[in-house]
Amino acid sequence: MLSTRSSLLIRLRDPADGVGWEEFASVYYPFLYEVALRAGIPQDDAKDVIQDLFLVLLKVLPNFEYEAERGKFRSWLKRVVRNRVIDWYRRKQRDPVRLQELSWLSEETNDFDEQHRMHLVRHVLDEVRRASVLQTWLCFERHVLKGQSAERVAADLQVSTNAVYVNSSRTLSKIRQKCATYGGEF
Amino acid sequence: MVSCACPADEQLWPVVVGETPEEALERHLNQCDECRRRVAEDRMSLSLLRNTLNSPGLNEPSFIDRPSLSDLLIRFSGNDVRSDDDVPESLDDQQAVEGDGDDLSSLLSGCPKLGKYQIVRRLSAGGQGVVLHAWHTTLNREVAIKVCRQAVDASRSSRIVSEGTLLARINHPGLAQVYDLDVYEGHPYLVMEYVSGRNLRQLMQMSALSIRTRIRIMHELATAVAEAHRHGILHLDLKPENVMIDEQHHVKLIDFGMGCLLPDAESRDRLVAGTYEYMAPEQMRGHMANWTSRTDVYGLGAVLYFLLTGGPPVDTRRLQTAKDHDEAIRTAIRSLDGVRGIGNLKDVCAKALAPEPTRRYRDARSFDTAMQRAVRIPWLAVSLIVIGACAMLSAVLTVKMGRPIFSPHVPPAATGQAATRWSGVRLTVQARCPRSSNLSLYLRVPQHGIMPFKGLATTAESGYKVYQLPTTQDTMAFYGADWVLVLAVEDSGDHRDLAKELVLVSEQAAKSLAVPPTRTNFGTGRWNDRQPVGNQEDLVSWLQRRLEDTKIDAQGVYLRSSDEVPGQEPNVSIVQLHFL
Repeated sequence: MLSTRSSLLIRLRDPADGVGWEEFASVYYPFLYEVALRAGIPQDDAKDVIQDLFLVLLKVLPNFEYEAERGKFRSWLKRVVRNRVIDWYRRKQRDPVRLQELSWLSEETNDFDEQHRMHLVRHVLDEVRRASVLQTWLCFERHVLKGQSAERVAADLQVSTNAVYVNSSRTLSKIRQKCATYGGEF
Repeated sequence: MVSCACPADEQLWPVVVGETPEEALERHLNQCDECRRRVAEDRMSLSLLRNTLNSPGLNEPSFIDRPSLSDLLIRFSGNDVRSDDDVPESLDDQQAVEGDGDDLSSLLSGCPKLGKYQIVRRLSAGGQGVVLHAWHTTLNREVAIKVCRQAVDASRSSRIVSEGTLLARINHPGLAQVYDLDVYEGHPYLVMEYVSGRNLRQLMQMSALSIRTRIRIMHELATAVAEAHRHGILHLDLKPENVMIDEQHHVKLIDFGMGCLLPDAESRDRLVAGTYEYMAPEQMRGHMANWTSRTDVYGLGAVLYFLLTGGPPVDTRRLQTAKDHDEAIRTAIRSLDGVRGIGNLKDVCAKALAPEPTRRYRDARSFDTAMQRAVRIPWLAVSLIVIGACAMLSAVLTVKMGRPIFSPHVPPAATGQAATRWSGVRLTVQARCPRSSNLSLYLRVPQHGIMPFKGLATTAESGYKVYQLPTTQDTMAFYGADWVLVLAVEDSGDHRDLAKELVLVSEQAAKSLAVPPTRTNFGTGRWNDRQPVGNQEDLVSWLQRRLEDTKIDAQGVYLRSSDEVPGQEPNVSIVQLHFL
């Protein structure tokens, strides 16, 4: 199903690849920061925790096998994040009761996975929109995201129906590719 | 595999969104697994996308169902290549926010279009106004629009429009084309070519530019400014952020024409335009009558200063008075003395930055000329190398043809003792590197600079490439040299590690020779400034300068004819250089 290989993650195997790393950080930093806040870590500490986490990722990612089945990267990431959060609680000797509340970070629930997907989709939509020609994006936004009929979109934007099809289908496949690049599935 | 018979993505699309396919398409889908897979894949993405967007807990993405322009301005304000966010806010930013800010946003809100332009996103917001990325709806082209915060009255409006016609006439590859200058509900706006790419600040942060590249950029910039001046237009806001660099490293000056948007005389003396860090003292003082082409010369000097030092000449956050500013500039000029390897450019920069306008270069062209003159010495060095190469070529031809074809330069030792000493000696230099990389080899002989030497690479055992310079001794005999320095530099990367490699050459060479070379001290400290070097040409001229700087003559690895290894075949010396 996932035909595109996780190219960004593969590139990250080489930590000297600054661009790949920066891209990775721009996708994952805000996401992990949100996760850390949600786990009850105060803002200032959350930044430190994520910073540390990124150092770990930098070391670990080059040796990580990504080409395995889909979702593996995500579940691995979840584990690492969870461990970091627990570490923080231990170090601060905070109330262990709070740890119970971290069930959404556990293996059994897919809360984290949902968050991850949403974040990724939002990021990728934003990125693709920035890279798109306005006309193309509007076709896609109205027809696909808002569910307007192709005929109506075509009439509004003064393009052919076929152009709406072309723009929608291409934009969708761009989004799919991007998501795969960032280690998500679509 | 999608075969030729398969429909294109857009033909499948109606099926993806649930319409009944035409008969022919349906027939095809029944037969073709691949196309059914394509439809299924798109459908799955589609439903995942919609589910994700509709799922509770996710704030609705801000870009859906929010058509107003002010929202566009806000939501498109993220990371953009031309965002000015990293620039310290100038004082008039705050004024603008207090004074005209509301005015502007009320002007723009509920207005998805500005005249015939559809706004796409905000590129940056600064003291003078907002820069928008927009789409010309009838001509279908991208533009950048700078909308002025300050409103103007009707009489000024008409003059602005006529100045716009003048600006639009100027056409130069180094200047972002101005398409239009108009007024919208009292706010002047300037429509110009949308230039993608990086600005000079980003480029400097990302890559190390050779001094030659930097000078070329300055030259193109000065030429562009000179062209604007020729039409009687001052830029008045020269700064690295306004110098866009395309992929071929060519310059495009943006925001040109902002001078026309300046308000009228009565408010002029109060007004400070431009970016403080790069602003001339007379601009800081606000006396517009004193703004001349020399004001832009200061701007050029400030950009040159940035290129030489990596920072603006003046940190204006600490300044209190105009006098402080003058003093800060003088300090900046003095600090140039500490910058190594810029030679006479220092003086050019200092003169352009003079606090008193009359002491600066008259105009952009004189600045450019002075700058070119200041860097002429390296050019000389490069041409020396060329002459050297010609001489070598002539020697080769002499040997081949039996008589000289041309003789641009009489080699000092066509006759002479050294030549005799080398005759019959076969010196082979081998350099070894992993198969994945390439080496460039350079020879240096006394008085003749550095010559690139194309060695032929052969792939040898265990995956290494071996470069051979079998004719080393011929070259040396030709030049009457009694020593040669061989530099092998890895081609990959940007030669940042050159210093290390040069030292490596010396050490490896020392090890390979049973008799130690005369001197092996390269003075590592002095080589270690890690001056980055770009392409090969840059490398050669850089090496040339460095060798001159450090008087390397006395320090290199000398392979003298007397270094022949006792007990070995006397006519063969092999130096192996390893790059592992």
